[in-house]
Amino acid sequence: MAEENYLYFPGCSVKRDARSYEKTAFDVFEALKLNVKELDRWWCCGATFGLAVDDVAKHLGAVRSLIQAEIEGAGMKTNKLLTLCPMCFNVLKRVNYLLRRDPEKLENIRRYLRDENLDYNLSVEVVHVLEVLDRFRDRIKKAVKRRGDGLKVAPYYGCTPLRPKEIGIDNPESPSIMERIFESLGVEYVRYPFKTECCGAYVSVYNRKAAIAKSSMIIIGAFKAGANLLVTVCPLCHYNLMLAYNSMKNKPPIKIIYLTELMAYLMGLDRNIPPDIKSFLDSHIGSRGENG
Amino acid sequence: MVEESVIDKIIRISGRNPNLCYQCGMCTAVCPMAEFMDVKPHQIVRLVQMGREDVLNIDAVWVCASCMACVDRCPRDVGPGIIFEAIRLVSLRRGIDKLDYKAVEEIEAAPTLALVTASRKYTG
Amino acid sequence: MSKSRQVIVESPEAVVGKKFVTIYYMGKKYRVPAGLTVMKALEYAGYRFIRGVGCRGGFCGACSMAYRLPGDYKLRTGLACQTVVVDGMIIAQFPYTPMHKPRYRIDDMKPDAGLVIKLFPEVTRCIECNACTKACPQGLEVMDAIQTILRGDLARAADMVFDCIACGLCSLRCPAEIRHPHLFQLVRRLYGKYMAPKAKHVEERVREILEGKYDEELDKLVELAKTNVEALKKMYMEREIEK
Repeated sequence: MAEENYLYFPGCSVKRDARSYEKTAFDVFEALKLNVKELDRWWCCGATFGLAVDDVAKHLGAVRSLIQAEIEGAGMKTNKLLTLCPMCFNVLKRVNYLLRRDPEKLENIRRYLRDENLDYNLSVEVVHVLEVLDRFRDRIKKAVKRRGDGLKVAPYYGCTPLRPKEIGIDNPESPSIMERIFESLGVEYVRYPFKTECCGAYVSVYNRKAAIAKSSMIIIGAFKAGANLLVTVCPLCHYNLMLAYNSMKNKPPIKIIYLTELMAYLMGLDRNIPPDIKSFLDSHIGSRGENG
Repeated sequence: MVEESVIDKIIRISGRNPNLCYQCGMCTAVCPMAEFMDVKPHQIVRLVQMGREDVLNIDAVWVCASCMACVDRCPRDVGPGIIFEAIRLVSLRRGIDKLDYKAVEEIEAAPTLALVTASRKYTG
Repeated sequence: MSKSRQVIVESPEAVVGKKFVTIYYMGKKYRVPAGLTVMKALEYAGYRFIRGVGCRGGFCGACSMAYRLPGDYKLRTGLACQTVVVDGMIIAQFPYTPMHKPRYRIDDMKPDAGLVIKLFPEVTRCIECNACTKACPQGLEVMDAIQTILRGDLARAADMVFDCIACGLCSLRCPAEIRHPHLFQLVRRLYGKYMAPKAKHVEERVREILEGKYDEELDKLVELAKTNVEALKKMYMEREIEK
């Protein structure tokens, strides 16, 4: 298995709502010499893991993509399926975890998919981009082109990369994987109490006020800790945080961005960074920015 | 054959045992949405223990974000968040939707994953 | 009663000299000639279609039906005008698939998945069971098209559903209650209006017409119609046809 080879599951929102997250991620992958290939075919993961123990239908989408990864992975000598969106990560990994432990459910799904000549042999490992970046921190260090002086970053994990703990990528109570990446990037980060707090998730569709209140608390918490950047890895967190930020009367001078946007900037890979983010970062690192 | 009660359904769908709960209140303490709930998480579990079928009418279960904070930390492995999903499903499986798409503000601007999640959580 | 008449009652094959099969329609049993389509077989049995029939060529999607074969649990779907009867087949025909078409003004739309989802929010309920694809008589990848809309790629989705004949069978099978035919029509319209490359030569020709480039030529033809119809007919027959 080649260490740098990854199959990639984009997810609907990365393709539709978080384009710059994906584009900057791929700029970063290229700079780190990672071989990341998007699945030829993939299906919505379901976005949320179905919690009912008597319903396997909600897992079908995830299984379809796991099967596709199994097929394509054979040719690419990898069994690792990389996701950017932590909701996709969460669902794919939980479904995989469930099927490995519950042969009855696996057989149930197999029986249903047999009609379409599909079968799943449980070989895929689902990984999140944070885990991959953490693994290649040495390369990140070498790829940094700009000094992040003047940036104070608040890492925001949210729920899905960490919980439930069986599938989490780090200690769910006190994760540090993003902080390690910041250290490799040479940017200062802040400690604040809300890095694993829920942004309100899909509740923003049902009770927008509640989600805005949760996300506002996170933004203000990060700002009060001295941050001028709030860094997320999730399109849903990003959406809720932006809803909250845009609803604030007194907007704190803090920018909400995707991790890979920050990374691309510090690595000098500017072409896919949204202009507003680029100018915000430019203005904060000031004239001492470029150091070659 | 005895008809399955609402509480039996909740237990079957969730695969969890609410009777293990000793009311420590951990779930409510860690719940990010508790402040928006009419009945708090540990209270809902207590009502299920007591066999109260009117748990179906509690709004709080629809405010739960399935963030797994309570599920991860429950010292009795009751998994309140999973029991709430079962309570939601008892209603949704009767074909009663909780979400009116027409009432969603700026639905066209919502990301796909918010809407797919909401569809799965609020419609049957 | 003559002998030949008795034969017809007992065995139509003996008289017609053809193989017959048994089909069941609306709970009734019929003996129909083998090799007929379901639609022709039902007409043979005496039914007259008022709804649920159209082009009879497999293009209009009006005659959707579902059936089961003996000894098989599968609920199969197809078009009555294209599906040949099988012995023991149990058939139901759908004259219509109930669904409202949401109202929109195509001029006020944008090729944006958000607006499509606003009109058809049930798209987000897809659980990827693939029942739609299995039901499609056109062999389209219906589930994949729905998935493609969810990720915002309307141009690709429009291409995937180009051959949809709006029979509604996918809709009837969909546990998410998606209104595929209307949804797909909207996606194709958005593609046609906003995304497909414009035909430059048509635009050029329209401009020329509006500028009056062909007015003189046209006037001559109008005049000819008044004075010499035969000459005009001859010109028409000998006109240069676009290759």
